[in-house]
Amino acid sequence: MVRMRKDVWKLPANDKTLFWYGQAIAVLKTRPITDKTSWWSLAAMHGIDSQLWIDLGYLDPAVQLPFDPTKQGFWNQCQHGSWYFLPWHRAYLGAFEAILLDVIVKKGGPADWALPYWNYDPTVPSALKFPTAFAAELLDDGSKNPLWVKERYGRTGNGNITIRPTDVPVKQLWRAAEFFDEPNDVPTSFGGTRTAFHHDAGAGAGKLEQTPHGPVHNLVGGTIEGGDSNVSTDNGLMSMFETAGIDPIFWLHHSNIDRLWESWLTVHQLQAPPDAHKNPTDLAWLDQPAGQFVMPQPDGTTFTTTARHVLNTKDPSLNYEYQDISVPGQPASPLVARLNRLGVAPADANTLAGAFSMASPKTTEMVGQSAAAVRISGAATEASVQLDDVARNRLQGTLSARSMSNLALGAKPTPPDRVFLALENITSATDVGVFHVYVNLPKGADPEQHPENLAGVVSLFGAREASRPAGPHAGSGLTQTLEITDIVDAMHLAGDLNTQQIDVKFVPQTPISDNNKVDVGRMRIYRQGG
Amino acid sequence: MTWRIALPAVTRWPSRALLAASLAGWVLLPLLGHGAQSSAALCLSYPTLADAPRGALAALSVADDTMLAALSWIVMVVAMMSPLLAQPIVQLRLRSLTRRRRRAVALFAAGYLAIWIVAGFALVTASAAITRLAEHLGWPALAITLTIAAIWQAAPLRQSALNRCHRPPDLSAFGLAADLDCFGFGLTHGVWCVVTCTPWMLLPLTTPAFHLPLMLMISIALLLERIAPARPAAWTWRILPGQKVAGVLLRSMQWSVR
Repeated sequence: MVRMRKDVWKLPANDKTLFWYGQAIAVLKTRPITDKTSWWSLAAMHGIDSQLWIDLGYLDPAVQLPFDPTKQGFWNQCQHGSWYFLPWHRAYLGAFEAILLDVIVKKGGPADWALPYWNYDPTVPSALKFPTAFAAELLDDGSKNPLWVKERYGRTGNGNITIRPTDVPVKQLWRAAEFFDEPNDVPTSFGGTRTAFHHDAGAGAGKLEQTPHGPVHNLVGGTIEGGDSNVSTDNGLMSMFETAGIDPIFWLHHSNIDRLWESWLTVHQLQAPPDAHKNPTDLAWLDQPAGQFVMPQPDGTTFTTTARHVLNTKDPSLNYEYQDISVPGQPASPLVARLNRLGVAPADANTLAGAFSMASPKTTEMVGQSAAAVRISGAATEASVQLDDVARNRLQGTLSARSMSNLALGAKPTPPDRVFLALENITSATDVGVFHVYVNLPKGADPEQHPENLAGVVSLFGAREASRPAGPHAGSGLTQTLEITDIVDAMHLAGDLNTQQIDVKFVPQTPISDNNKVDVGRMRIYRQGG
Repeated sequence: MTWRIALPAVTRWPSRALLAASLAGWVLLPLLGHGAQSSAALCLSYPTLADAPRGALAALSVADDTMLAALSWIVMVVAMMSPLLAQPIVQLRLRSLTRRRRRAVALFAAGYLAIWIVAGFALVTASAAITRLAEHLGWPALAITLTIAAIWQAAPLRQSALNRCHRPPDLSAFGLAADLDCFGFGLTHGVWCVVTCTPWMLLPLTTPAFHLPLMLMISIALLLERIAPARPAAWTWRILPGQKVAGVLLRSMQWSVR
């Protein structure tokens, strides 16, 4: 029987899923870090900083560690900024769940126990609340709640975890039709950029890894009130790779990220390319990196696996499905809707959209760039991207309903470009920070009143390591790409696109000070056609 | 039913143009090398250097030989290094306005080659010194260069330089500033590349009998190393470039039925 991973907010009143989760955690926490099935070793697989763990009281300095905590190997294995992000985390969660299930069954619990998920659905405000069972330090009987950790500081540091719909948008996930990007392109895909085996964040994060994955890490973890987010011990566990796995909510968060992958696979849109919303068939993704997804088993031994072996969650090796993978509100044909919006007659839009699906492979062209780095701090920071006239004219040409309708004249139909704002070389002295990015906001306007100008949300999860000049990324920082097609369409229709520059406004959602040295090295606007 | 080897796609990064440039270099090298055998060319007429270790600078006194030597050196750099430039050139093109892309790549290549030409003089001088030292000590020159290369390979500083080779460029988009940035990117990328690769380049220079096969082996090893992800700079036992990737490749070369 396939086990069901359930929505934590929809568990019936007398449900024991979280009770058994807590029971298993309590057992795993008693095991020493030298045991690969211990809570500590499982968390260290995601990341470990031994000094930080000692400072936070999660590691005894006298213990002889079985692996070098500074090296990537069985520990520090997590995949970020890479097309392996989703399959690696699925294998990781699967191994974790199997170890917990083993403990639960031995304690007399249900054999169909499965890890629940926290669906912070932006359309359901009540689901955005932090799951109650994890929030209290003590249980009703006065004993310690195994689902609780003290290092959860939330958005402003006072321990209140508040997540708003704009922090966790999912619409952009369904629009990303391709699973992965090639490294010679701007990252706009769902699952990340083709890379070798990676541990750190960096340039290749896919849409799902960028949002809602990153913001939830930061908005749960946060930084303690009055603390300094540049100092790791002041930050919540969820805010950093090296500590995230210690927090029991981490696993429900990633269960939801894994669920969103299953949801994405069900998206069906008319006129989509043949490989849209499908997993890669590339052997480099399916079968590599050979032998490097190393996972523990309940008996303490390890096994190796690859993406190919985790694609079917109902396979006996994983044996789970999600309670709900529906994709609410997805339009049947976003392309036809866009063509209508751009002024193509409804009667022609369907034919035209069909003809576009046969169009040439995608091309990416830079349309504009910012002149200098932008320091983000305080309430808001304004900046601008200078446009190149030639490239902008080409973009405008593809948005013109008349040029699209040239199909009737026998010309090759050109679909309207999609437009992306790439924030490159985001460097930071801290891992904690979330900011919203607005594009073409009217001068002096209150951003909150203009959701139509919100390009997206960016989190600094993983930024500190990616910013270290001596680190593996040599200080190249994070890259995040936000789709601004709708905003640019609106500018075009309002006659505002015939401009030399586009304004961008960064609005921090968590405290970000000048001391955090949060810089966006370059902003680039790209058009993508084909 | 088809059979395919599951090679990592990253090995397919180098564009056809870069592979063609590299291949042309490899075809030209033996031709130039044999043609220059009697001359005192810098890098290809090793017998001259090895047999008469009066040094490359003496060799440079003959203008024609110098030209040929410099040409040989450039051809060698093109042959060995072109495939390594796939990533920076892709990054450069993506960050350049379409109409400026060719110019950007040309400026980058000019800066990059300029650094390697300067490095060429230093390398030949160093190889001559090593050859002399080897004779003085009565050791094979190969032993000395191998030791230098192995120690350098193990050093964190080298990993740091290699990591910087992966760093995407920060370029202006418009006007003279864009041109200068592209040339500057060629220079800085060249510096990190030279710092990363130099000791290995001493190997063929001081081993004239096997210079071409050694160069080819080193090229492949450096390419394998380059496609591996960056890792923290620390002392390491991995003293052969690309040994980790080679291991992964070997393990993954499973024949799969599709």
